[in-house]
Amino acid sequence: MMKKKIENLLQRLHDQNLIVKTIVIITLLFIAVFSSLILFLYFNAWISALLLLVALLLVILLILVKKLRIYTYILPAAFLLLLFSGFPIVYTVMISFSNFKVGHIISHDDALKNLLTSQWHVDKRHKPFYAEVYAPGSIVAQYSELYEKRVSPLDDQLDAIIDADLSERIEDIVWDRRDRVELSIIRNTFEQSVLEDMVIILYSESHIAANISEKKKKRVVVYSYIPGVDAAGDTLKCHKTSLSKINSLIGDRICIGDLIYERPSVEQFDRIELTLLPHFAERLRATGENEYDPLPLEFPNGTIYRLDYGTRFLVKLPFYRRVDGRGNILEKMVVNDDGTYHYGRIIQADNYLGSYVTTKNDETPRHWQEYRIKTPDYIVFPWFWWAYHKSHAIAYLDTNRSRTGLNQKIRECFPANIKDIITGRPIDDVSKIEIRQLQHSIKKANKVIRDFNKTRYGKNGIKQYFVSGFGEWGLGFPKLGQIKLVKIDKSNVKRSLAPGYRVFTGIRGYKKIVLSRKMTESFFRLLIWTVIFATLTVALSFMAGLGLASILNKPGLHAKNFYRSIFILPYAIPAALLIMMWAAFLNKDFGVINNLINLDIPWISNIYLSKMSAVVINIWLSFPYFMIICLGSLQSINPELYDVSSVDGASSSQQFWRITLPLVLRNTAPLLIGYFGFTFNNFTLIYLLPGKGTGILVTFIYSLAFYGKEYGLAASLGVITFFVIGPFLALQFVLSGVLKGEVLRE
Amino acid sequence: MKNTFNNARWQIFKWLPWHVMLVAVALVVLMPIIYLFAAGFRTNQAIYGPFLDTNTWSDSRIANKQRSRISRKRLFLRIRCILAGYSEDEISDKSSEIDKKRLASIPTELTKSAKRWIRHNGKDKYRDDFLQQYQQWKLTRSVSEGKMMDSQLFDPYDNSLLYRFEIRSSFQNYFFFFTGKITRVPNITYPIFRWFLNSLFIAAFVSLVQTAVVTLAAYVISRFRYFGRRAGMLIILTLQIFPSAMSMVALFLLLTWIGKVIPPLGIDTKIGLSLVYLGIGIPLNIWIAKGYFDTIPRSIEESAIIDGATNWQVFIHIFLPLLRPVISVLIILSFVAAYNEFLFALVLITREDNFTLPVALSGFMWNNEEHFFGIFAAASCIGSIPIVVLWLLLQKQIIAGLTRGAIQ
Repeated sequence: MMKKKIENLLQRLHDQNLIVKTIVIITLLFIAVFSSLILFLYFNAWISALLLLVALLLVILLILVKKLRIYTYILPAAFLLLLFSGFPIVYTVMISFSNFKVGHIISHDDALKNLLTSQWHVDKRHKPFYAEVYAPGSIVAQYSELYEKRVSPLDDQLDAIIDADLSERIEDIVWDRRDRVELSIIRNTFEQSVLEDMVIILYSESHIAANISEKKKKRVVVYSYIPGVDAAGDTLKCHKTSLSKINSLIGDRICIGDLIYERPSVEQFDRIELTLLPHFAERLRATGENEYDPLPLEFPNGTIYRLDYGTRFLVKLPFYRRVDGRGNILEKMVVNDDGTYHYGRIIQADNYLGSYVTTKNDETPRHWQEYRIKTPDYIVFPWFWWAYHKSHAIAYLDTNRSRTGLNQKIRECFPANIKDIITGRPIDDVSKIEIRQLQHSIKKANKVIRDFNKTRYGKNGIKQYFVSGFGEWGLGFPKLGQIKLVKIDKSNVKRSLAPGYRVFTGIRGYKKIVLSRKMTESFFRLLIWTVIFATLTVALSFMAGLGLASILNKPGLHAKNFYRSIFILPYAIPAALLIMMWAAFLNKDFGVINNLINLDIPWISNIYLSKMSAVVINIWLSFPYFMIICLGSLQSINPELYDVSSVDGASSSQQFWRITLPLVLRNTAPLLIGYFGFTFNNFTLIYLLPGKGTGILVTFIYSLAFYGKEYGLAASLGVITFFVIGPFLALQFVLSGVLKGEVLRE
Repeated sequence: MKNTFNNARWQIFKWLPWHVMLVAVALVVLMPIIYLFAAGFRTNQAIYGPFLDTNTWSDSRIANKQRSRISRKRLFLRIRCILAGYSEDEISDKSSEIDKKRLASIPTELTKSAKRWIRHNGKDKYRDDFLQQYQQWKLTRSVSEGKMMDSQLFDPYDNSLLYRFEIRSSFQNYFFFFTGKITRVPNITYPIFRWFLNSLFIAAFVSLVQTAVVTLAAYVISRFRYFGRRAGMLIILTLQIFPSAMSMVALFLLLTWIGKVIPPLGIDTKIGLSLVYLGIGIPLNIWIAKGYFDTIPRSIEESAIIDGATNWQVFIHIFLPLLRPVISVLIILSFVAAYNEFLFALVLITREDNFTLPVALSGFMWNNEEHFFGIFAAASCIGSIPIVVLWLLLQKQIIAGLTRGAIQ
């Protein structure tokens, strides 16, 4: 009985693969907990840890619940798809709502940190101080010993290297070695001397200039750091000292490096020429191995100077003393436009721009919109608009404008105090009545302009007009545009500091694209061309591929394999390389094709021809793909269909149109749509074929993101594209009827 | 009549037009590739034009072309001057100024003896050798002729040679693929075979994993009803529209993040790049596989299900043998896609050891100092061999046919 029960249980276990399942689940659980803990503890990435945990728990759920088990088949595909196709999209959508661009990449905290520890600027307004550093004799002796040692072991090594005949590498080894030795010397000597007792005497440049008079020289005032007395605190405090006291301060110390100021008493000492010194501070900072704080020296008035080069002391320019509780307002601001500095301006976080800014009169940063009256544009309707130079026509129009007193007439249409009415006022403050008045006067002014345009070229004017309108390539018809009431962005921000941060900007990016006429125009122009490009490519290369495939599929044709392998060649060679090759072939002056036919056809330098060649090249590149697809698809058609139809008396062309084409189309419709999407984004072709006017949406987005450095804006454009084209594709997909003939299991 | 056509003798004539047409189409369509192949045999090949030797001295067409361009420019200038109201003298002055400047820089045809010498000696020579010989030979000619030749051969401004002339046929470029050495750059050995292997590895990895993943998913999509099926399929297709320029940055960041946790999957690794290819290629391939699954009638698996086979058993024992053609198609397509991809390989891989073949070869074309077009051509021809071989191996499977198997 018992035995039977156990057997039964074992059988059940075997049937349901329970053991395997439990093992899988336990390992998955273990991996889930362990990896998310690692992520959380070591990388501090709690979002990813949480996501991973949830994902793995979901997987376990899929395995456990019988109803959901079919999802496990899709799991790997879905995972890869989500990670490498889904994530970029989510990321881009997120980015499109932010001001992500060059200079606004890091987070708020990082930007603040960056500002607080930012670069050291040369103080241009106050000339830098020069320093003499006096160290105790013992340290200098130690230093000089090391300095001499630095050379000798190297020479030994050099000999060894030359013996080994590794002449190529000598230089590398020497430099590598020298750097390391230098660093150890500096650590051993200079740091010690700072901490113990060292005297630093600072001279401003005006004090030590060669051409000052003896009288002045006597009254030289220097600052000095006296060891022992002021050592406490973060900074080394300096005091005003008179020149006469210096000798007693120095005592028996020895000067390291150059003497800045000549004094007879000092010259008696041994002095070491330190060629090293001018660079070591910088190098220490650059290595990043040890956080070296370069000698902060505080002056009586509170400014802090730091060692920049060996003997030069500089003010650290953006020096911030205090941050308020929320980390927003910093007490002081330093940098001016010309690189000089001054204290007293508050810098504040501006979350609209996403950077730290200074404002007029230290107000809180504000951004608002104002009305502006836009002066009329010049409109030119040229015959050959792509190659027309406007300047001729505009210059002619300009002279006429001043001669007829048009400007005066326009000005009379507006009230005299027009500027005071709208400037400096946010649009919300302007009342509706005022706006109506404004619009009325604009209407009047526009009528004047229209009259000007009409009467300008009357009976006598026509001849002049033609002469003046003649540009380099043809005639143009210059006109004055209309006056418009526009909104412009205003803010009281005076200067924003260099490393900005990322902020959530909402739909500002989208607004910028939708409201800007230039943007929308180019977007739609590019969209139309992109759609034409993709459709033409897909349709024509599908036709070519299907044609070839159906010929190569004919029973009885010899050397099928040969033809099939031949026609696959454009697909077999990397497309990028072939595109580069084509770009060379289509060159107007030196290209093979133009040389062959002995003509000067601008294949890729004329906007229409270049579009044509882009399409043709793309077809040439992609027809083998469709050939493969169609060859596979033709095989899936039941041959009985042909037999039956031929018995019924259908001709071969009828068979093609009635049987082959619809069936192949139904099989490949999703692929056609998918390939449309691929061509829609065929960045490589357009990027590598430097044609004129072939730019499609992706390349536009690319140049916006990487040349224009407006990554956030480019992202929003990408999202807009996605939502403009995506629904059409989906509709196309549903209409194609792919989903109808499915063989589904309940 | 019908019998005679079925006779084996007549078969040839019946198919002849098709063969002629196919060969003609192949010749026209594949002309650039034939050109590429031919260019591979020329060691010092410029990008532009070896069929007609525009790079040799003997070409007068370029000179003539430049001349006609000048006269056109002159015509436009004349018209504009007239419209602007210049006098006759002023116009002639202006146009002659331009002509003088331009004509000075245009080479004319050489004398016959010079041409003959260059034809004889200029071929199969490298630049420096040629210049040396030219200087020697010039001493034997008269001074005036030497000057004239100089003015025609060298750019008046920077004394560089106006035309390239070194054309030499050899197998050198094709050997380069295996040796990695270019005679003109003796010090450098390019790891081209390594690049080739990188590409092969990535493509093989991608195609195998892709096929496995995709067939599994397509099986479920084609045969089962479940929540989110239709929407998922729609989304998969529309994902393609998203601009790749945007996803470049996101993928770069994603791989760096992954690389921090699991270094062999991070940025600048072959597997990381392959994972990206996997993710990108899945949508289209799922549709290929799904379309194929749909053509398999339900009756085939029904009996097995009635016998109590699990889904997995049905997939392995019944579908997998039938799937041979579509698996071949999937392998081919994903292999080619991964092998030929350029953009992501350019962005996501920075170390030279990990370059793929297209990225590495584009360097020979983009090199500013010298275009190694011969090497580029030869290497891309050899680089296409794996795909052609794969196609030859798999095309039987593709053509073998599903329906035949299904009916049996």
